[in-house]
Amino acid sequence: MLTKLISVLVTLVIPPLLPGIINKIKAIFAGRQGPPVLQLYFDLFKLLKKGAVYSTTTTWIFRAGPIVSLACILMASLFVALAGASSPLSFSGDVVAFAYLLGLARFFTVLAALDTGSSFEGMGASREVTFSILAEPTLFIIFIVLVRCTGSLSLSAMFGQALSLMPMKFAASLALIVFSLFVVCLAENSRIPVDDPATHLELTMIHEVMVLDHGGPDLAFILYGASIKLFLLLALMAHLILPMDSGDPVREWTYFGATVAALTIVIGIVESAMARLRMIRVPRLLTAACMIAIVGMILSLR
Amino acid sequence: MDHLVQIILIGVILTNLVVLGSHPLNTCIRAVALQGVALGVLPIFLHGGEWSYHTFLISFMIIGLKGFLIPALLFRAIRDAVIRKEQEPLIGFTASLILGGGLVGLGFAVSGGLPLPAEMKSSLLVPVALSTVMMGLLVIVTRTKILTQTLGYLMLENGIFAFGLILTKELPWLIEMGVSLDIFAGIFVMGTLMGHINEEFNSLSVRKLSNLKG
Amino acid sequence: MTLFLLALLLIFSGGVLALVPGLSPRKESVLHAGTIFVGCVVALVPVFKVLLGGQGASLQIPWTLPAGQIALAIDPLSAVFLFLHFVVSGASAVYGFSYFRHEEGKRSLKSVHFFFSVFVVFIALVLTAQNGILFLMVWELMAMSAFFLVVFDGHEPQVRRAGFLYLAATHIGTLCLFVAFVLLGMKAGSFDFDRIAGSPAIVPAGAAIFVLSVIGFGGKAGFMPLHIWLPEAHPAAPSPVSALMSGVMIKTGIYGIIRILSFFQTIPAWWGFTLGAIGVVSGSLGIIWALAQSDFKRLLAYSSIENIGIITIGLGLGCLGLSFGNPVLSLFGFGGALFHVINHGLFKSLLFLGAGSILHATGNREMDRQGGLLKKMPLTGLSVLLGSVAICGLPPLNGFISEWLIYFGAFHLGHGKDLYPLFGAPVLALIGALAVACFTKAFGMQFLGSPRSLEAAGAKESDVFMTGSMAFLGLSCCLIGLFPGAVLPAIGRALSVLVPSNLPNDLINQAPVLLGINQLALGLVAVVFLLFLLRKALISGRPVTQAPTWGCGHAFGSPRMQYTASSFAQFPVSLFQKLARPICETSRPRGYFPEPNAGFASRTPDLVWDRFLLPLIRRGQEWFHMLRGFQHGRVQLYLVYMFLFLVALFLWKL
Repeated sequence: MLTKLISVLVTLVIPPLLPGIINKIKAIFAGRQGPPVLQLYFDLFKLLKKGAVYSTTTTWIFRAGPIVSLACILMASLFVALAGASSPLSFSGDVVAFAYLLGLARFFTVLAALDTGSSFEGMGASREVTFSILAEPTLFIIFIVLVRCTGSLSLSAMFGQALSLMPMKFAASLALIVFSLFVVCLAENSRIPVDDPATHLELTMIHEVMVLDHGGPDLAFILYGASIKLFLLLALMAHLILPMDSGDPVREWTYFGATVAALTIVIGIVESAMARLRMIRVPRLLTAACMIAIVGMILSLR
Repeated sequence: MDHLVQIILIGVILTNLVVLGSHPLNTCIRAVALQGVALGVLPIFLHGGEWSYHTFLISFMIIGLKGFLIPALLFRAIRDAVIRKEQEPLIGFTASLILGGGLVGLGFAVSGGLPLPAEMKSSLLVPVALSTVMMGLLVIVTRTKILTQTLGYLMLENGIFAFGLILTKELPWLIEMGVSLDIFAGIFVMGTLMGHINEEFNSLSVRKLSNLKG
Repeated sequence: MTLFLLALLLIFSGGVLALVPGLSPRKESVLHAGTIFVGCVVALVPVFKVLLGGQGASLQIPWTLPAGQIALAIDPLSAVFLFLHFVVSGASAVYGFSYFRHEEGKRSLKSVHFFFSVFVVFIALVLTAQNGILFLMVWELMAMSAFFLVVFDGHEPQVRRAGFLYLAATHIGTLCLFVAFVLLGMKAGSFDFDRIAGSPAIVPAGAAIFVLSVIGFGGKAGFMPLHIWLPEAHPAAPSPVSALMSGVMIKTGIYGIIRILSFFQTIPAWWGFTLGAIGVVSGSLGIIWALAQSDFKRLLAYSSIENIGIITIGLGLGCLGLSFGNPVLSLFGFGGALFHVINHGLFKSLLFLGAGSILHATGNREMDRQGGLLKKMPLTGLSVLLGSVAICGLPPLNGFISEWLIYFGAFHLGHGKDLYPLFGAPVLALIGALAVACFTKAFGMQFLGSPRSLEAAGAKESDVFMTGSMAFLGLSCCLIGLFPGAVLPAIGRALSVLVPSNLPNDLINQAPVLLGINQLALGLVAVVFLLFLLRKALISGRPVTQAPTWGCGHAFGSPRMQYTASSFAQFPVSLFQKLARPICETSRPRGYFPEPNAGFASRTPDLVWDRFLLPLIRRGQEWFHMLRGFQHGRVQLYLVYMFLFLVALFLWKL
């Protein structure tokens, strides 16, 4: 019970730290001071104190979009087990619910973007749904590999205790799907090389351009939700890299925290070292990630 | 030992996918070079780690040939012809990647049905060899620049070499010499051909060859 | 059973009365809609009795035709399909009452009224027939009444062409079914279903019967590549008819396949693989082509093909489960397929009725001309939103549960090399992501943003009958999504027809999703509510203003600068260039002060039709043209033909 409470608290409080770490790493690479690591917390507080401006073209869907997407991401976070504890909600086969809840969040974000009647948002929405077409099957192939490795169908078991008991012959498949999961994480959270979160031009944006017309508390909800989504995917990757089976909560939480921080730093390094891919090249990257996941799946099926 | 072999073989598959999906020719040549090095290192680790000086020498030769000499030749060919990038293949990069993934699956499916000696049944060597051969063929068939076709030919040879590793514990000198000569002759011919095509058409695209039709 | 027959009789009489001359059109419509509605409600009573575990009712009357008898029965499998049928028919009839009102003065609705009632009756008879001859008869009658409904707007050449295509396709299918049923009857010695089921004599002909049924029933259901009539016929028919056709009639094809499967005690593995492959191809190609359409009803027709593909994937997994002896796979595969039949029937008919409302309000079906309809038609918009969320399979609505069941079955595979069914899961994920793209386009471009044409700006909300029937269907989607535990036992009982009786059918009642889905749905609603209150509290004291959408500094933004449906779909469809290449016709503006006649139009041709069937038909026409040489008109040569034929006969017999 206590561990579930701690999981929920960590999920609610820690995520805004991650974009701050990424921006700090990018600043270090660029030779700048950069914003403080807690910048997103300050931004969220500032936004929550503001009023709101709504476009005359919009309907109730625009006002509902940020709320529904944040609610879906919060509900999805209830299925993820952190640091080897058990998740607050879990049932066999909840991987599908996890993936489809993220899909519901995407559905409403896209609708809220189309509601503004602006060509920018339409562009971003079109690109967002296109990249999800390639990322969703990859995610499910990753789930299949984990089902074969752990023999269990619930998210907290697949990414948790059962993974440490997995026979060694699946180690190769696991390495391959960690790479694929990393690329899917970059795609879902609109990081370089899929999208550039730093600019605000319509040529380079996917996620940023969809939320262009939101402001005030709505924008706070959206930024908060995006950071939680990044945290969840990194948490899943952390579980794949470092199995949590020691049974000692303190050690597990430190391992978990260290791995998530390390992964965030890796994302920051990738963002500083690479440029954004041309839009029409991104499907190739996602297809390559999918093929690598398929190779991992074929290896695990023998 | 066994894990190391598995990792090397998975690396071979990944280099194949890199060749199928990359745009810049430098990356493709480096990937094939890496593949050559990996396959050269393999005989040392393969049969339970028992190696003689003979095996060591063979590996050294193969790494030198496939990992350094032939890529150097190819890099020089690029520099002479001043080409940098691969054009869009006949079926598109994404479709090549998807087909490559399918061929990996096919390799695994086919190797499951072959009658192999017992110790080889669980190893990754046969599927990886078959997949490499098929992906080399895919590259030859779908690319338009003769340089990439040469790389495809090299991948094909690598696959056949890997397949040969299964059968022989020791590699008789004669077979090794034959294989090396085979590769060398092929590269030599391709290099000359490349030079002549470039002179004639000022481009390395195979499509221009159809201008020779009467 | 008597109640059921009375209900059917009532509906039939309503149709016949519509033919009576001299009734005022208004009274005719009321009578027609009223009889169908009451008939459906009455007929649901015996159906519910069987769904809730009662004994199936049956009826048998011998007649003078040889080898046939009138044998009707409502068994648990029929009950599931009949439930869907009567709910959708009732809603469509009420909707149609209002929809056809503007036509009342202009032309006679007698044909629509008669054939609609007759259509409802014959579908019900198809779903309850227990004798092969009777089944074929009512199958043909059902197809014919659908034809007359499709060509209601027959003054337009497009509609006539669609009707002809539908007629050709359905008769090819019926021909295959004739052969299949004759084979079944001959081998088993009787045409009654309960004598055929489990009879060992039909096993040798099993392969032929299976292939013929897949072609015959699959053509009706919309399997690729037999689907070409669907995207023409469903848009051409009036909307209540399309709802019934897409919601129920194509499910009769699925019903037929399940019946044929239930006749065989052991199912070979290749049947499951075939069904799975057909499902994968139909599902993915269907949704890709749906994404490329700009006509809303055509998009919905292709989406029906996609959902039939999902149902067939479930059927294929179920068959593989039976062949491999994997009870979880078979129960969840078939269970998911049956559940998706109900779900798809409900939300697809809802979407077609919505398309009808949009057509009614704006006068055209082009998604690129709509926009901003949510403000003008809030109730219709809310219903179509519910339908769109449900068809994408998103929680907490009903589409999620049925897709979850199929996923769960696919993950539960045994070990060994029979692991190909696992590929069903990523394909379902791909189909789901494409469906999200397709329906955000469909809903977003028509209901959100600003109106892109004058007609869209002038739209008005439909009247209470149309919005009420759609709201009813939307509500049923929500209820089934939130309380799937109420429906699963009925599906478990329906499965008893298919799977051997030693398997625990109630395994499906304990599907783990049932535990989680209530918590999930409740939690979702609660969190949404809390966040709503939080935001309200946050902005309560602060300025909330309205302003135009930011247009990057443009002084005169116009609705035509928005993304249209085709531009939205262009990027996703470009991922699948080999499969769906839009043909663009452009006329560029010329000169420094161009005339206003420049234009751009794009359409996506159907690959099966354009690349495969049309060339095949043309080649066939050329061949037959060559045979025209025999018909030259010279009588002497005709006499020579007769002589040659006699010679051939002698040679053959001697």
